[in-house]
Amino acid sequence: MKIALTTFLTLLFAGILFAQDEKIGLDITLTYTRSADGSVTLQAEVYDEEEYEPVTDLEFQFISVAGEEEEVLGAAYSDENAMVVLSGIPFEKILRDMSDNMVFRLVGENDIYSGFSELQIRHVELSVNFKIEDSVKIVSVDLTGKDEDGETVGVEDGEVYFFVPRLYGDLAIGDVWTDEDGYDQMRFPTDIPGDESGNLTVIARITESEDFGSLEVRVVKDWGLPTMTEALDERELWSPNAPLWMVITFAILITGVFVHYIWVIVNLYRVKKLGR
Amino acid sequence: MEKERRNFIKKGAAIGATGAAGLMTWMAAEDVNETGEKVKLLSTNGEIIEVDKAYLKMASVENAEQMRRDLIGREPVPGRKFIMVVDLGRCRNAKKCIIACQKMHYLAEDKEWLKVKLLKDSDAGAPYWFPKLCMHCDNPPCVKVCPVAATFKREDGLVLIDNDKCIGCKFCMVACPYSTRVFNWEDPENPDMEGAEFPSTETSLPHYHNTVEKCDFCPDMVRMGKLPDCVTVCPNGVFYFGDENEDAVTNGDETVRLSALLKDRAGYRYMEELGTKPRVYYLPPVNRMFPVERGYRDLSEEEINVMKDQMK
Amino acid sequence: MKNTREKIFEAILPSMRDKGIKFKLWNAFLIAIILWGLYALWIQVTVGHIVTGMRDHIVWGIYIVNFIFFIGLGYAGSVIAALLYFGNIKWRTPIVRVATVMMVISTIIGPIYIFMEIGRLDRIHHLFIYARLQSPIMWDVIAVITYLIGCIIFFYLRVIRDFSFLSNKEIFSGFRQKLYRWLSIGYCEKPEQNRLLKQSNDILGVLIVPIAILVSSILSWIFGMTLRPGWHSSIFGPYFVLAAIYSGIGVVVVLLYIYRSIYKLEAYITDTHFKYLGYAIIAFGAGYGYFTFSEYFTDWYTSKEWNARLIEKLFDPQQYGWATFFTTVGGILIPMIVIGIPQLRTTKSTVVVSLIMVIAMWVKRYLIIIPTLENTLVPMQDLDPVVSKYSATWVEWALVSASFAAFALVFTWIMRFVGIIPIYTSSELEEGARIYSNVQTSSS
Repeated sequence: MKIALTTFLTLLFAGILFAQDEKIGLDITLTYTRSADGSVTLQAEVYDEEEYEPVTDLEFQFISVAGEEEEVLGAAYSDENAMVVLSGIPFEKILRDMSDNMVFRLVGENDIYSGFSELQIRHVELSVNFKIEDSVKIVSVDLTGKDEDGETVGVEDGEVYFFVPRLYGDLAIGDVWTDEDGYDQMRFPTDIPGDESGNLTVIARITESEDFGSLEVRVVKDWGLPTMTEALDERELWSPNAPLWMVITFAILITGVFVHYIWVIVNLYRVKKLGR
Repeated sequence: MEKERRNFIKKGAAIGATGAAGLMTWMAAEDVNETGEKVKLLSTNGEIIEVDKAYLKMASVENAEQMRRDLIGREPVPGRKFIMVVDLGRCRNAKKCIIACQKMHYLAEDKEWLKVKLLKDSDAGAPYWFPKLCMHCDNPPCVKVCPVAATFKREDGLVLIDNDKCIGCKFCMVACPYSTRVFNWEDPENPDMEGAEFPSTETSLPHYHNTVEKCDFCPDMVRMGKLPDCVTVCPNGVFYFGDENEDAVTNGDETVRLSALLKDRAGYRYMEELGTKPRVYYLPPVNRMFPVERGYRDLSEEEINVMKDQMK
Repeated sequence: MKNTREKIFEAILPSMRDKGIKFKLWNAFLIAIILWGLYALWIQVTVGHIVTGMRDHIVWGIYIVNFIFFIGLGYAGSVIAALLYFGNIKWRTPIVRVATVMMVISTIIGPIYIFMEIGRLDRIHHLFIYARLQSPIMWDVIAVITYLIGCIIFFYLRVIRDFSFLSNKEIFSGFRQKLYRWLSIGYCEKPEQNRLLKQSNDILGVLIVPIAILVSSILSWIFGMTLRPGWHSSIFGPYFVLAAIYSGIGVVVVLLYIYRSIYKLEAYITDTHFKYLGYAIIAFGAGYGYFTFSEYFTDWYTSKEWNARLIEKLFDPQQYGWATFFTTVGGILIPMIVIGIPQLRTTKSTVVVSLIMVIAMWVKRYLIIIPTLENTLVPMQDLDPVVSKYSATWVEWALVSASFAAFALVFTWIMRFVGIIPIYTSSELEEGARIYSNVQTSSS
């Protein structure tokens, strides 16, 4: 089955290459993002090479390549912003070589356009660790990958940013740069509000690295400040209920006045009775 | 966006129904024979809850509408304290915020909930553009004076108006020192409300003739976790909006620490001495992105003169 | 004593059954103005508040001005009447009668004008079902209702005995006699009846003065409780109380003079009355002038930016300078000078300066409301002068005119019904007897 597919694709490719002279080429920027849940998103921005206009509504194939092997991951159309997105690709579906290198190929063609792009990404594992040293809160990362022999080693030069998610967007709290052992650490800020019990989601993220693409790890840690939502005061001038002294004063005044009114009205009633 | 709004209004109906049902449960708990059949409803906290079908029938038709409005509009977005920071150094009177606000709230062209003023703090000081929204004060003078509780302060910091209760006495307009509130002097145009069966206090819709309205920080949007339109539309990122509890604000591009922003940029509140405790902070107009004259571009000679005359 | 009563009755009878052409024309004129006002109201209710001169900054206009003016008269009436009653002042009777009638009518007309200001009259019941005690408007609603009830009882207590006297006069139609009899609730000079009436009079007399002062202060707090310069002032409560009494005396002087000249009542409404009322004008004018001065002076001296802008607005001849000049000179200085210098003081001059003063007091209320609203904290920067500057439209003037016409019309008819001179009390005072003369002889 796989051989048949490969053959078919090879033939297809030959066709594309053959026809390329008459068609407009494409300028493709392909990016790789691995989200915290492990699924992969491939995304590309597509422009034509002549006018540098966005190319819309063109079908693209996403293909995973490893040596001779190829696997079609899926297809998508470019939208009005010239974006082609294939998200939620299970990581297991992607082909890797011995040292965990991955190659992605994006192919798109119709009557007018034709083009393809390749992206090589080294698969790395990012782990986040928390520790307290001399009552200083420290967050550290270990970035590991595989060498040519398939051995797990530390990966150098990984720039990892830390974020905490907020209602609107993620708030950056610092960054580290891994050493030859794939390790680096930083002080964790102590004044970040978390939820009611101080839990905080910490995101460690590598953004658009040429070698590793984008990837992130999310860890929940109770290093945030507990957030207390104070209930509004019940009896303020601006709350629905009036301050007590106001209610009491009002009640006394009104009662005092109306008691006298009633007294007078009773008097008038007695005058009337006397007049009969 | 519009579609989302509509959907939200529909969602509001479910929220309201839950609340009404809850109230009825409390009122008539003993008289109801439970059917055993449960109905799933969305609570005001966004949780799905189950209610016995028998309770649903209890909601009286006449009061249901008002109850829904009360329950949707007066419940805060849980756990939030909304806050805004306006960077005066970036504003060039582009007025995109005003137009977006008018579109968002279906306002007529001459109606501005959000205004941009030209201010000057001292004789030798430099003039600057000053976007003026509702300050959503924590000690709101407008809410204090409302005789019918039509305008109210929520736990999430917002000051809103229940357009259905407002009697149009305008006392809140007089009490607001920032002249934030506007009045529907003429019968206002309303959007086609089809599909939006239960308009809520949070959408400030429909507009009613002879009642008071104002900037509401788009509570229906923020409930959905979206930024108000004035924030996202501003080309210069003037407005930062966020949750004070989280100590973070966003201007659409960047998310920053609120406390750090206010500390580093010497944030202040307009007319602190009034004691209204606004929820809108301003960053002083320093390190300007644009000369103040950029803001004159789209104004007529007459408008510029009026502004310069009244500039204080 | 009976003869004295008959004498007084004969004197005021022409005013109680006037059927002359002038009287009819007068009524027609007033009704025409009221109808014009009702037409304006109909336009305002159907078209909306866009027909007024009010806009987003100046949200309150001459309706509120009129509201303060009339409510002020209402408060003044009871204070004047109660003070004269407890002072047991001999010459008081016609003044008390005019003051109490003015009190009742103004306390009814005034609040109507706050409703003119309210956009949604169809939701007026919200004031009761969603009432919030923290709102000064709510205080005012409660205070005015309480005061109005007190006023009506206070006034009624003073006319019961006259009703019983009038119910036997066959010169009136049968219906009118029956109405008098019904209203006199069977009063027939029994000592116990007199005792009860005197007690009631004493209770309300004592009660109505603090209520009037409180209610007047509450009115001022609608403005005093806002953050606006020119309103937010601790002097505002007493300032409003004094201004109310001051303008009230002016109106009493004018009304007494009109009745005296039309119905030739010089024997009962004497020059002495005007002299004493003149003295009251000097006394209250001095107090009111002192408050006015200290209000402007303190704001001007410290010149806090927002306040200074208001002072500039008020004293700039291009803006409200001439109006301020008129209210201070015409409303305070001239009355005090003209009445204070014996050579200038005549009944006529007293009446003329009172009239000027009353007009000035209306203008003063305008100066309290409008310039303050035009003086926003954040500059308006509106192109449209309709938005940035208030000027009342014909709708508003028609409605305000209607209030004065309604006052005149109702006053005319109440006076026609009860008589301008209190018959019983006057006769008692004239003969040097105690009021409710036989109270002491009663055994109870």
